[in-house]
Amino acid sequence: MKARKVLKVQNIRYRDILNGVSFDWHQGEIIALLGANGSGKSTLARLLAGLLDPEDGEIQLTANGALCTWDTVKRWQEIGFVGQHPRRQMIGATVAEELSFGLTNLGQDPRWIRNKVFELAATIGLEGKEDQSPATLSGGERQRLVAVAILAMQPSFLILDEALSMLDARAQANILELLFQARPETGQLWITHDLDLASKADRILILEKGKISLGNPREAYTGANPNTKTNTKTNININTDTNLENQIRSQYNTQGMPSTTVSKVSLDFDSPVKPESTLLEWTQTNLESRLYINKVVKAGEFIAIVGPSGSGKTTLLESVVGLVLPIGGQLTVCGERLQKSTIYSLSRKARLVLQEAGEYLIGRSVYHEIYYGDCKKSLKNKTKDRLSYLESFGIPERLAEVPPERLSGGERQKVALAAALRTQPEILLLDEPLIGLDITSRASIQAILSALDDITILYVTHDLREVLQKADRIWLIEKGNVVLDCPVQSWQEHKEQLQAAGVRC
Amino acid sequence: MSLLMTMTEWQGLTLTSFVLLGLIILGRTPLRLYRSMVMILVWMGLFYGLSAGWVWSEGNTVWQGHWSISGLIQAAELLWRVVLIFGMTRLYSAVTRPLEQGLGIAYFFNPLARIIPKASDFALLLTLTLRFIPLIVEEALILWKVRLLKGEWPSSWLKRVSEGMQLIVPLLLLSLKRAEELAENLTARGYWSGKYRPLILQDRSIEDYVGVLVIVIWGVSLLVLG
Repeated sequence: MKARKVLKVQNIRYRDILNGVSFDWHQGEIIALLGANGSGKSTLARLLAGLLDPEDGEIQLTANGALCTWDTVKRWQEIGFVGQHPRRQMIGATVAEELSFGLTNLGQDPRWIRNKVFELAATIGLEGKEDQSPATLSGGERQRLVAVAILAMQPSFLILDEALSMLDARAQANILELLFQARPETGQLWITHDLDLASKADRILILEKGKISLGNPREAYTGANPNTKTNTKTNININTDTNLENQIRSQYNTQGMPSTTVSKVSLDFDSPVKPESTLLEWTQTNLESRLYINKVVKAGEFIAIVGPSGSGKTTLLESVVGLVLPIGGQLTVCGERLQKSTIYSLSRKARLVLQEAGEYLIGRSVYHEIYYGDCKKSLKNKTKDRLSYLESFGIPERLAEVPPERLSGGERQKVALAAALRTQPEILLLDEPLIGLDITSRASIQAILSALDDITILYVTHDLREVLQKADRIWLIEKGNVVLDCPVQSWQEHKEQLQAAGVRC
Repeated sequence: MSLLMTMTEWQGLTLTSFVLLGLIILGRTPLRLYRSMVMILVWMGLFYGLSAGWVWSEGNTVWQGHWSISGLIQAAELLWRVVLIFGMTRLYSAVTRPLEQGLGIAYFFNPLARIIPKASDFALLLTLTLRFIPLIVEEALILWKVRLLKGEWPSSWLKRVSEGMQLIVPLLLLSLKRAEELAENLTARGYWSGKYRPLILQDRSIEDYVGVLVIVIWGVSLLVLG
């Protein structure tokens, strides 16, 4: 009989991030680890994987109760690690190399590896692509590739550090199927902010103030009454439990920037565009053959754009700011045709917040990032008005001179949003602005967006629930075409179509 | 290619010309691929012709010289060799993806890795570079996009340089971060020095053996014909 292993985490301390974390993790058990941005989840994952050494405490591996010291086992073989960004985790130059890299290091026979590679590629729908570069694959395909490459090494424990957060529902379901297949032999630790995903785990742990603070919140799930959250605007039942959400939220508040400080954002400008006037108009527009669109957006509208990965959602947003120019048809922004000569004048009217905008802040400091492009004199002169603008986004004055890379994920996203809105654009384009954020950060970003009443918003997401309260219309984009345009009130009539496209709703 | 560099006789050059022609036909590469070489070769021909063909006797000045037939023949042979080298490399890069080139080099390092473990590190370095460069280019493009979204790109060269410099620091930080992630990924997959072996999926076919035979015959012929 194969030995059952347990990973015993005992009173782990690391800098001021982890302050005595203890729990047991059994082979075959799925644990969901929740926690605010910056609470130390990824640090804990790296400690478990052996990429960092704890300053105090111990991580022990036992097999049938007997202690296995780390010098008698290969840690990388016992504990697999999958991170959030598949494209940053690829090692192999080809799909086959990616799948075989770990197996080669395990010392398997090359012929066996070759056959295994074909078998693995087929299980994740990549047959025939073995010789392709992973760079040519979609995000979902890459994530499956990395997950399977690690699973092929048959680790006793597997850590998924927000590895499923960037995927649409269909791609996520695909990987979950693989993970549940591996479950009997592999203990899994899902680090996530997604409560729906966490509810599929055997046990939930919450990391707060450097400690595991909730012993067994699974009971909270089983004892809760589902389908209770009601949206007043659209009369929609959202399949997330309010009590549970509040209970868990109360367990991990973000430190430093409470959501209450971002309740109202004052932009202090009068929109020159009359309500109901046409602000954006794509006329038989062909955007680099990736998206064909013929649509109109009125001033003040909030459009939720959903669809599977690679369908053309980001291309649509990029077209508004001239990063992608039409190769057929035309795009009119605020009544003026967008072309090379008008890009700069028109792009001032629209601001795009890229996906993971917080990762790509180019200013030297928070203040410099927000007021990027201003002359040196004006940057030195931090007026009260300017600092209060920062505070209206929940960015305290003390953070003004801090380099952006030192901020937490939620803070960086707020900075990106504040920078985009600083020039008082008429159109705000948001590409999955809540990705990778904890509940509190999400709530504060959503509070900022709710306060923007006079602005036209195009919001790309995989999760319709993020925007149901605020959106006016929903566009579903599939294979480069807008296949559905409906008022948000009637979304349930199209629920099946949306779910089939991988939209969470 | 090394043999090609050492060839001095017309017989060897003629043989290689036929081989190149045969490979171009077999490889079905369009002739326009070689068009960009023409201007470079014209300039090189002029340079070789002038430097090897125009001679002057000792004590005379350069404009008192004359054309030398043997010098011009020597220049023509030199140019012929350069044409063949350029043609071969162009053909090679047209039919072999950088990825395959890297894997190929890594594969041929395999026997060496048994003697010197560092050879496999070098092979891994090659394949990682092939993966890392596009990743960094991708990151640089995102940073560029972010900059463009912040407003108009300045028209003055001085300001453009200053703006460009401002992007170098975040790019450097991102590159370091990605490099660290890469190192962690290698550790997480159990890599240690001297362990890397590239995986070639295809079985050797009859065409491969014929190819090796042709290269051997060609090489031996070049050595004989010189």
